[in-house]
Amino acid sequence: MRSHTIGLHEVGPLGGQIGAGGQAKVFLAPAITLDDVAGPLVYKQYKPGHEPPHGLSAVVARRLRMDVMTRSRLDRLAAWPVRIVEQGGAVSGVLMPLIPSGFFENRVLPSGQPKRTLREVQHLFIDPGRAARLGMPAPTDAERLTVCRDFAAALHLLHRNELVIGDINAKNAVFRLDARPCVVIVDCDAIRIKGAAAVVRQLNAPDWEPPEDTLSQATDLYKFGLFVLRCLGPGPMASVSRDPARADAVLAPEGRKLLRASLSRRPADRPTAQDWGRYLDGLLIAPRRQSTPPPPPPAATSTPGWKRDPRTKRWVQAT
Amino acid sequence: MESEKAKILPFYVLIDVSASMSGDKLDQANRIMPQVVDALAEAPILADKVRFCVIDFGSDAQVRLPLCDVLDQHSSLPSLTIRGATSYAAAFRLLRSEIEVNVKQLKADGYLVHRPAVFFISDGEPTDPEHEWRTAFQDLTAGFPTYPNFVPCGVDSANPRTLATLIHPASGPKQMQMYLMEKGQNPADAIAAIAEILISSMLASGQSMAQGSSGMILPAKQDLPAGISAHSSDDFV
Ligand SMILES: Nc1ncnc2c1ncn2[C@@H]1O[C@H](COP(=O)(O)OP(=O)(O)O)[C@@H](O)[C@H]1O
Repeated sequence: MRSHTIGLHEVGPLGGQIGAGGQAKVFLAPAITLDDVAGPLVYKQYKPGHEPPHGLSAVVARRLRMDVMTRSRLDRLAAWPVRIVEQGGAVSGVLMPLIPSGFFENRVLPSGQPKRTLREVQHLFIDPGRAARLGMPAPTDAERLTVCRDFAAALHLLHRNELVIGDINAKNAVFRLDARPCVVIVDCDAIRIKGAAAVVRQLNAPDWEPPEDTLSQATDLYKFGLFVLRCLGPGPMASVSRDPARADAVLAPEGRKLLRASLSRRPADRPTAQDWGRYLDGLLIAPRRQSTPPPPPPAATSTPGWKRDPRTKRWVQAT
Repeated sequence: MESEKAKILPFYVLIDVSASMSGDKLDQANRIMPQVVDALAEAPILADKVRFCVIDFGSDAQVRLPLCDVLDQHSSLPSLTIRGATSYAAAFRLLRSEIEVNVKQLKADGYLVHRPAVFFISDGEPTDPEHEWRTAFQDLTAGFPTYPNFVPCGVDSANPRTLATLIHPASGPKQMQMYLMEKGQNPADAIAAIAEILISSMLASGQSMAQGSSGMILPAKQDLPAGISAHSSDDFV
């Protein structure tokens, strides 16, 4: 049986620091490979006093017990802690797969300073024109639906494996638009195994509070509903909105019903991640079934890849 | 279903542009606004929570950036220039009238408004008569229902004892702090460090803004940048 804990010395020399957050620093760990992890690894070193209590080992062990297929799907959908790292008998950090570079954006900040940042889902909630101006992608409606679809798939996989995400919020998932799956859940420390206590006490981010007090798969489903409405109805105040009508223009009647049920105060009313996945698949395969046609593409005057045919005066795809 | 009203935190930065600020200090002060914009560009949903305003003060006080969403396409950043003496009284009076107008406007626009947050950055002593700036500060903080949380920041020859009297609230559960350049530091670097504190306060306050909170969070002492120390009002009696 593989051990879920390794010593810091086994991690070997660390590479460069690639990030820092409130509770940890993140380094490349180029010297170690694990036969159950496909890509490169990073070492997340908790700041003193920020080590999660025991419970983390259950989350790590849960992954190691999965069959190979499920585990590789999990690794594609979540930056899951794959080993606990100890030093002198105390937890110093965790190893995680490196989030693929497609989830990072090389952008230029308004001051002109270049910056490579994780593409957190919060960027999906703001006005698309503003996002573009700030150097971030401005996805189309179809791309947004695909993001929701892959988020639903990730949630379904976790729920099927008796896990509760707990703290779904604007920063705990990242997206890309050029490959599937297009969502990865990050910061998995707060994840909990159904029926067990959370690794770190599970919290609600502001503006993501569910109606009920105790976090469960049902509150994940409520928060997923908030994600869908904010992703599909971007713009001013979307990040704090709970009004399902914001997304009406993009959802067929069935989707509008699903979204309203997701935000129901009664946990039993909320559709599962699988229900959402099926519905979104249907929309993406047959977009003509939408009752409201998607808005026309933005004026193509400056869009590379299109040119006006001099004879017909129509826009045609440049080859 | 849109049950709660959206909540906005008005965030004011008051910057000293008296003659002594010229040179590197003013250059650093001019970097504050672009840094605030960059920080919000990296956390853009905070634009749904925070509005930002810049007032500068010398012989008089002027609103240089009216309270706004700085990620808005149409907000352009002014550059600060030197204007003579150091009138704290002018700064406090203008701040009070801006807060009054801004809060009224935000409420009329349907928002819930958090208690305004103020970072006050100065490099010297007030040049107006003491009773004048004290009265102006009194009007800003006492008997004014939308009094701000006031965080004085001093560099160079700012007087810690004077600034300490501006911490507001000075005591109680929501007591504010004062930030001071440590002795021997370069004042321009200290202004850059204060900018860092101001930005992390803005991010943390915006992120955590929830019902019941004061809407203003200051960084923990161990997270302060080098060269700056935090004080509460009873550190200087
Ligand atoms: N698995 C990973 N691969 C690549 N970068 C990562 C990974 N995990 C974290 N990071 C980087 O490190 C930063 C901080 O990590 P995070 O988990 O948010 O720390 P904290 O829990 O302290 O907030 C992230 O913003 C990101 O840039």
